[in-house]
Amino acid sequence: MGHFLSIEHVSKHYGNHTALHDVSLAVEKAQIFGLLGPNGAGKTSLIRIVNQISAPDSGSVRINGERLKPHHVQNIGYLPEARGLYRDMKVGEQALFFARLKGLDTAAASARVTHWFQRLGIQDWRHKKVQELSKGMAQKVQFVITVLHNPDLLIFDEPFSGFDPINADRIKDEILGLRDRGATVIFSTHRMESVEALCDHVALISRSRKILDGSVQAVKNRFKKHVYDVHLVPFEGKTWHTLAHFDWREKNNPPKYSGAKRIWVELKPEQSPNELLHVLMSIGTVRAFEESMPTMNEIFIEAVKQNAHE
Amino acid sequence: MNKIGLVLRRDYLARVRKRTFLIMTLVMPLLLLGMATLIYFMFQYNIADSKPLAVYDESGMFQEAIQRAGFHHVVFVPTDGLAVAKDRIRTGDRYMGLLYIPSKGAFDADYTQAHIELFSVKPVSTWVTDQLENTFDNFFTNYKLQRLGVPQRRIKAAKTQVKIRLKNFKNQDTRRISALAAPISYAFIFLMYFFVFVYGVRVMRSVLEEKLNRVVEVVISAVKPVQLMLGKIFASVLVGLTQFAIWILLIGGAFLLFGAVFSTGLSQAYPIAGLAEMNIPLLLFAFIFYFAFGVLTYNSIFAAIGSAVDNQTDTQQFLLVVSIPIAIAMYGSFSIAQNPDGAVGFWLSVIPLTSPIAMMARIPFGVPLWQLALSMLLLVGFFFFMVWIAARIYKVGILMYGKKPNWKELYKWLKY
Repeated sequence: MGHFLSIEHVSKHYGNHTALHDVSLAVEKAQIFGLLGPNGAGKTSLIRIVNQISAPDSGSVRINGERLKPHHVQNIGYLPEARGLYRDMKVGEQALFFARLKGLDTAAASARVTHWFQRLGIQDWRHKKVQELSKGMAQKVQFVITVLHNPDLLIFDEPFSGFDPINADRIKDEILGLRDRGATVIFSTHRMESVEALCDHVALISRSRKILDGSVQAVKNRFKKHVYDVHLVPFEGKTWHTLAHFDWREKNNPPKYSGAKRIWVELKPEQSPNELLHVLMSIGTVRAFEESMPTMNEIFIEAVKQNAHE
Repeated sequence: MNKIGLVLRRDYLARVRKRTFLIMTLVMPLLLLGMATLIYFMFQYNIADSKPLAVYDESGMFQEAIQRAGFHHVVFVPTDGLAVAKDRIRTGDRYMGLLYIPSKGAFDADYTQAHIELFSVKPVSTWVTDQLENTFDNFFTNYKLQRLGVPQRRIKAAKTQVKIRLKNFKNQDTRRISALAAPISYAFIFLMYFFVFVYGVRVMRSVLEEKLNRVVEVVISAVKPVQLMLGKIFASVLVGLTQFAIWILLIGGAFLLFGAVFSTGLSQAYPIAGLAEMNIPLLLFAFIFYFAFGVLTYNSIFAAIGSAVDNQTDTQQFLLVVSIPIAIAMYGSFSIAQNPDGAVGFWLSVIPLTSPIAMMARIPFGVPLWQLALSMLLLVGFFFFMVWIAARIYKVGILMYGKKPNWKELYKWLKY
């Protein structure tokens, strides 16, 4: 098995509460893996197990085929959702402290801190105390602390919270850059648009169970409704009765083209897009014809609802 | 440096770099010294402030004896009529009372019924009556001996001052318990109580702070919770020892600098000569040992409490329970000065939760070596046990938000 991170049949209970039930995941090297799920689904429990903050009751976690060992912690960078810094400690000292906790010696730690502070343009803050920083500034420091020991596995839980759009974009680019340089990223968020922008693969956890797992494309294909978004300029005097055996409705959204109507058509299993296109071409000029794919947001809501009803 | 060391270093530096540390360290000894001096002067003032004793001495024999009786102020009123004198004394309320000594003729042959009377508005204290009765007893004994023909110098020569030689059953001389034993014992009770509580509460606050500003999850993704907890409680002990070392240096420095000037005044205010009779190295070693392990043990309990709650208010229910053994140790230890080797002293000084305070209260009086060893061994063992328990609560507690825990909940966490 060539997976970088394998989570195999992991279960975790706290007293009578089941936090995780038989969860298995496989994360490939240099992949951005979206770990999604509603609040209280079990994501944080799973992340804490990978970080060895807690241990699973059953099942196992492997990194590069090796069962989790204490030394692995030094090769993981974790940005928890509930995060903070020592408020009365200087930014530079704080970064050094965390780098040393992650196993770097003082010289190496100092060099990495300088490198990252310069990279993000925050070297002037080095001697400031955290309590003097704004929330966004503190989040940047927090990001540096997560990545500065150059870990192979990065776990980001809501990494963009607290950032303005410009800095959020900056951090997104850094995450992509880290992935391109070989780091494997587990990315947990509720902001589905960032999942689409970043993730190669997603898994959805709901009520302690994994309910969905696959590449973003595959998941979208699975949840697509075979709905086609059509912009059509109708021919004069042509009736639309030929469209009657399709399930269609007119959309209120303004069409992009002048004189065009915008309709949504949902195909039945026995109907093909070509068949639809053929009919459409007989009643007007087709200006746009596109299969409408579900957004990750829609998939998230639908999958969680389905799971709740099961 | 290992991870406990890194946490310890961070916590230690964070604490000693704070301005409050410097202020507390410098102000504390002055405060304590000031308090002791204040108590001493209050005591002196209270004596000086006491009202004078008026004496109506018809016999005219007691002027000298009563002057020496230890009263701060004695006034001999004119013997021109007792009724007048009584009236004057009663109305003014400027005197503690009027002592009436009749004329020589009123004394019976044996002086058992001297007809001496003390008039006062409010009853006088037993100290006053004791002093007066002793004075008269001595005076009349002397007086009777003189009347029997014993010359004054013989009476003086007959006075003895017996000092019993203290030995053990191997016939070796043993040390006399220093007059300083009790004050030093009390000082240790206070110091240990202070350190255990103040440092414990500080650790609790620091744990709670890490939890509330959410830095804790970042930290424990790099170190084990137990390592974080140990680093913190060790740092707290080191801060205490640093503070203590600074105090010793300051006090030592002050003695070297101003010793010549103050030594007379000091030895009058504080009987420091008694220090020579104490086993200073043992006291110092025991203090550092009981300080370290006492503070460590209690710190681990306080750390567990800090981890379990979300705010200061919720700590109350736990603090109340933790303060019970501390209070038992403290108040129980005050009785140790009366009977250092009694059952109370023994048990309090070997049971780990009370031993840091109680053993320090006993040591100035001398403790059998085996009891000291037993107490230390039990304390070290208990410390490891307590850390084990505290760490289990701590590792669950620091990641638990929004839950108001109770004892039952903490017990459940032990099994997570």
